[in-house]
Amino acid sequence: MSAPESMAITALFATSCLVRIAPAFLSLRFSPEAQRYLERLLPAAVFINFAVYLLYSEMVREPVAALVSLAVVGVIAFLDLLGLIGTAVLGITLYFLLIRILG
Amino acid sequence: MKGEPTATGNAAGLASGRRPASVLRRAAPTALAVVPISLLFGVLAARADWSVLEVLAISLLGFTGSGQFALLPLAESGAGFFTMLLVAASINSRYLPIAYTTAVRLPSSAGKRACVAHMLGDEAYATEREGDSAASVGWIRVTIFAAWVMAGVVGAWGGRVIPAAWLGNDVNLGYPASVVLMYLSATQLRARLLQASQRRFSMLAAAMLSAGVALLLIQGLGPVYFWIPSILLATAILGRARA
Repeated sequence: MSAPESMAITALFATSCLVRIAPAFLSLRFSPEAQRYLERLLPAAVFINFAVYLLYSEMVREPVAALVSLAVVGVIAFLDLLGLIGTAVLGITLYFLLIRILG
Repeated sequence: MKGEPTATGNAAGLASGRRPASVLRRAAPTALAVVPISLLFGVLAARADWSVLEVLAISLLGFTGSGQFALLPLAESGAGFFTMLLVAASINSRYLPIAYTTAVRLPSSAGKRACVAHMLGDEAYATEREGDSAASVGWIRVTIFAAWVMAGVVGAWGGRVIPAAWLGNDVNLGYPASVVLMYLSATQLRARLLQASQRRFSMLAAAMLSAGVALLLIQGLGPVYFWIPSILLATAILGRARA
């Protein structure tokens, strides 16, 4: 294994230890209010940021196709209108179809 | 206490542990969605002269889509270890709150706990549910992790075999994973914002405001550094709406 590749692998493993493994062993005491924030509101905040990040990163590449496709997927999922597979097929088809139509 | 499963949690864990097939069915679409991205990583790594063994090692020990893609050119350009560590830690800093809040779902034995914690990814987090047992969480994470690692190795092998001209740059191979992650995020938000709350309208308004703030921060700070301030602000906004 060559040096730059080994360094990259070590850096990523060290990152995993810092951000994923270490927090799993932390035992901190919080007030009931803080605990409620951590268990209920923090995950919701993370998912809102996931959604925005996905929209942003895909719109940089294909603004209209990504916006329309991901908005349709988000609305369908939020309203519970269709399952994961059906929605994924619809979203992906819509994306590539729009790219083709819009040139 | 954190990390010590309750009696009901253990009972649920045993029940779910006997039904890994149903958990696998839940994780399979997500695992399939990450395959093209990892394939692409393997192909690009092979093109940058990484061996199949090195791709296997980075997928097993690194296991982070954005981090792996980011460190590929850094390794090529001869960047130092601390530069790589800083970049990787910045990109993956969002896992800090996620790892902390999901720690209650992990197995109690230290070795298993560390392994399952290492296999935490965005897709696994979005697939898991609050009441999932440690066994279910383990199956979900192992399924997605295994798909990622295997696809990376296949990609690395393919990158050496497939002629360069066949690999077009115009197809967005990562899009299926974005669609699946958007679906799972919206489903999780529905469960957390609508069903558990009496104040649906104010929670929805707070979610929209949080999304707007996230968009501003992502433009101001960039897609790497916006995560932690944006997550903290969104938590505060949702907290005020719920108070």
